Amino acid sequence: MKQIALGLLLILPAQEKAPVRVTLSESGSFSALVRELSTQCGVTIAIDPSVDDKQIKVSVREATVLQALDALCRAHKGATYLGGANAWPPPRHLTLRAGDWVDYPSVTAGEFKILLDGWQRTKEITDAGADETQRLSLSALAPPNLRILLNGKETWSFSSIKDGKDNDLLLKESSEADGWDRTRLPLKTIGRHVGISRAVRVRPFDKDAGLKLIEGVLEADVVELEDVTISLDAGKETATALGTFVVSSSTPVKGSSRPETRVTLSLKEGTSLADAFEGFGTTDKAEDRWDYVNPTIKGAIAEFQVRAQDPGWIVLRIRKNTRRVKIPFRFENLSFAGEKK
Amino acid sequence: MRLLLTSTLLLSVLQEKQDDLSKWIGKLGAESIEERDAAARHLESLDPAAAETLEAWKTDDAEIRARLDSIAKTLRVRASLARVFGTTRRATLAMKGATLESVAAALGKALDEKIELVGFDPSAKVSLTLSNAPLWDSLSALADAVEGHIGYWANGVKLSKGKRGTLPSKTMEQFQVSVVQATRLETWTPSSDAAPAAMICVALRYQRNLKPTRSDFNNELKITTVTDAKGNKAVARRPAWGESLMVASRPFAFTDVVFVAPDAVLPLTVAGSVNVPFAIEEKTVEMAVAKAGETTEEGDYSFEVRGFTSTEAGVRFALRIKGPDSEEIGWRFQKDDVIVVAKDGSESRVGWSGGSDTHYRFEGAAKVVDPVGIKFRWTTKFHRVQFDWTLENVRLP
Repeated sequence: MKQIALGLLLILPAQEKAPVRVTLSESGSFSALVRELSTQCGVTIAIDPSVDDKQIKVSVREATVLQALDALCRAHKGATYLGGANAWPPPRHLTLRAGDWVDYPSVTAGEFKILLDGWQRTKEITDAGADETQRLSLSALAPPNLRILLNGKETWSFSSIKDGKDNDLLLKESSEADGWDRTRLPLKTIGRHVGISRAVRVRPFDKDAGLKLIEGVLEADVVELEDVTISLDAGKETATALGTFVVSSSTPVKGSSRPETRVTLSLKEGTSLADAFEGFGTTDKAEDRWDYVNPTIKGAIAEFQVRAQDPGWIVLRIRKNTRRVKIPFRFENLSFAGEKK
Repeated sequence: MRLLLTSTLLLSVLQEKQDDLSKWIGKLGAESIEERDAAARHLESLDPAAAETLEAWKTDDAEIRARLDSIAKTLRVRASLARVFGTTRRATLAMKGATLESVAAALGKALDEKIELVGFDPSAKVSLTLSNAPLWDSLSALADAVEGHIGYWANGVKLSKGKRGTLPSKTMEQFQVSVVQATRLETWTPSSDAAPAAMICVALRYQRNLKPTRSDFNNELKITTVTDAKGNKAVARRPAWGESLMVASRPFAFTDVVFVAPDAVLPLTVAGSVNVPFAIEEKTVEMAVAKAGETTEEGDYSFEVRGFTSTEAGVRFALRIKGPDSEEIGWRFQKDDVIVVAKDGSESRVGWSGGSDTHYRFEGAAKVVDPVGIKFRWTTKFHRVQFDWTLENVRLP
């Protein structure tokens, strides 16, 4: 695809620490280079056994984690971290799996990356009339140690979308129904588990003439992720970035067909735990299993159920250092023609 | 009641003289789909007592025979629905050059519906003639008279501007099965060849005075076959490029969706079935939570509250239901309407958090002080609305 994508300045509060930068300039096995990237960025990156551990050569300097990941997958040609099965719960760590590497039209903005991952035209006859809609699909990806929150506060603002003939394709959200009353089959999002997506409805245009411009900004809450091990011995305290946790109770669930334990934790400092957890955890170090634990939060108290009998400890993924980010994006001269494989 | 039915039958027979009947039946074998469809609609609108006449009708044409049998079946289902659920909302109107406002008001009165005009000039002149037309057909006729479309919402009927799409439907007394959406999808992604796709959505709508025993059935409305104009199967797999299907939710309706081959020869014939239990009688069951192992009974069914706790983290308990038919428990128990009652009479709604057809878990976010009991709605009598349907002349855009 012929395209030019320009990343603009990432606006962050001044006190935020600088994004992680990595330098890889060497030849080696794919797994060794991924390990090196893991070491430099301080985040575990897993490799699915299906990926061929072949020799590759890569050269990136002062790159973001996502740029380095892209470079590794591009050099390998048969590995990717995008798309894949909609596994639930998602894998604990960002996982590189076997699959064609595709360079999507993308914009790098600070640690983040925004890419155009699809277009869709829908023609329909409904009991409310006949209609045609077109949508562009964008995804925003974060490095593995960060999460862009899908908490209802994320806003995608588009300042300009123009087709190859310079026609304005932007619709005013308030004046155009977004098809909420229609049954829809959206495109699979490629940034599943590593980002958020948005399909924006545009005026119908000639796809073969391409797009001249997509410009806008994503504003969203971003959190840092950290896995903390919390002892489940009654009364024992565990210090974390959120504060000191105290186990109020840890009781086996009676009448359940499988071993389950209900755990109640509270923060000693009494701070609210709203949005403090990713909702996943594990009590199984050997298998590194990642379970959905869905904590019920009430103020500084978190209650959840784990699939284990009297586990002794639990690893929970917590969210910390929430910050608001603006991620601007600008794609120029995108061509859709003849790009299908 | 019997007298009324007899006079209706006599009227029907008088109206539908033998030669007229013969003319309509002959049209069932017409080349034109529209003509066949109109004939089937007319015959399906006859008094249900005409079923016997249609079944006994002699014809050598196998297709007409099959259509007559299907129409007779429809008439019998209509009779059964009218018996169980009472009078279908119908309208008889003859208004020529009247204001839209007055036509909407008259139709609304006849149908016991509030009809709101959206974007129309209420003083615009319109003509509408209806003869004992059921609710769904009456509303469609009004929409067609003004090039509008109908929304059947919780707070009333909305007539909005914009000509409704030409989509086939079948009215069965208080119910209507219709194609509500026919869609072609074309996609592009840099990663794969995103093949074109097409889908058809069918809805079962019901009058607002009827109530399904629950709203989250899985197979209440089922599309079973789709055939193209050449008689070939036209059902296709869901495209691999698709995310989860986002099915539009309509009030007073159930929906099913099928993917079809985008290159199928049009028009399509879509067939399926309806199987929805609708409540006839309900009652509120109230029971104490204090004593473990204590059961409350209602008919052949018994209820037991298990593991009730009320702490700072909220309320939790399970409800175990025993009875002769575990599938029917799921139909009878209104799990979305369960309330914990406190000693002071205050009530807290709890949410269903999982379980099976005989074991339901509930959670409430807030602690209930001095909880004494729970209460919930239980359907004591219901009727399964069951019929097969076929919609012909379905076209994709």
